[in-house]
Amino acid sequence: MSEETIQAIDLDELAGTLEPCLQSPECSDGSTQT
Amino acid sequence: MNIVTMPERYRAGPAVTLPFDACREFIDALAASGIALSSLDVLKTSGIFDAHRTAIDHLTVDLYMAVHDSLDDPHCGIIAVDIPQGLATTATADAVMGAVVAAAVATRFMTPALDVRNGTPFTLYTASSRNEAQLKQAGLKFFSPTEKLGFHTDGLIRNDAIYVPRYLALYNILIAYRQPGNFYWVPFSLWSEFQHYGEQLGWNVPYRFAMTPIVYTGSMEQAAPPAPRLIEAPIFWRDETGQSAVFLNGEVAGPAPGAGQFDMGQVIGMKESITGRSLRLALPQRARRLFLMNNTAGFHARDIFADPIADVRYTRAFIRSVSLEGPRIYN
Repeated sequence: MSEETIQAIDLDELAGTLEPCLQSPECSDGSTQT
Repeated sequence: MNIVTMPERYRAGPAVTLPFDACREFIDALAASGIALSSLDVLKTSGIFDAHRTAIDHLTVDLYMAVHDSLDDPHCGIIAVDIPQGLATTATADAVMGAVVAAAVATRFMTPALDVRNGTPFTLYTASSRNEAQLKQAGLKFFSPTEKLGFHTDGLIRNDAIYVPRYLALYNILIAYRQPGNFYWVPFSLWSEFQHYGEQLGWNVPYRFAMTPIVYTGSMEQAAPPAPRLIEAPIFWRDETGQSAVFLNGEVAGPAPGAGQFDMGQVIGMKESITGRSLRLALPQRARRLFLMNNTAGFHARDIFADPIADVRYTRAFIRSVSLEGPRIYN
């Protein structure tokens, strides 16, 4: 993937109404509704 | 000629490429059902993939056996699936379609747990310099793209019970680094000290772990972001049927109450053994590459991302799915 493509990707548009996670933990804490 | 060689203990992991036409036909099949792939939130309705099982079977027909065999092979347990570029005319639409295709491929081999916040069959992660600063300011341990992530397995906590998901899917949408390095995999079967450490740390002996909290963007706007919490789980687990799994994530904080003596040196020794004395599979990390893993058959780790591309708002974005399949190992 070229640098131009990386810069052209709009992640806000890609996510839409999804709320992204900021952390990348090793464990999916499926019971934590935070 | 500049020849890059891998260390003696490294082997190239398996990789396949999804045919471009198969991807286009899958996207066309979704479009024919009135599903416009303008953003990933279209997958909030998880039933979309359930309603397109035939299309997903068709999408994966050429690589099904290769993936299946790699995941089930005790000497392997991982495979990379590359999603071709050019599925749409704009960069963002192409990124959305690549991620939707990757998520669909994952469902061919696993039943993904739904993201608790979004209801999607994956969790979307985005990293940026701003987010990293916010997390650090809040005092949270943060695995930055530039931080080395050592060998571990992934876990799943549901209703206070601890599971080891049998399958994992990790798809990089965007990596804004010129040197993203490798993703690494150590199959349990190729780690010569597996039995040794199983005996030393004990089968089904509970330990206490400090878990890294999940932090959604909305949480950062609250007064107090989620704090790390302690859980209990065995490191080495097995049942009477011969099923086994290893739970190694977060930080081992000590023995569970009443579990007896504890030697942190054994845990450190185990991590050193996996990292330094085991044969590993190496797969280059890159955007539009899906890693499918059998999480009950090996440990994974990744290189530090190096040489960042300047003037980007986000440094990395990926989606990650964990399967509902997999043993419940505690509580």
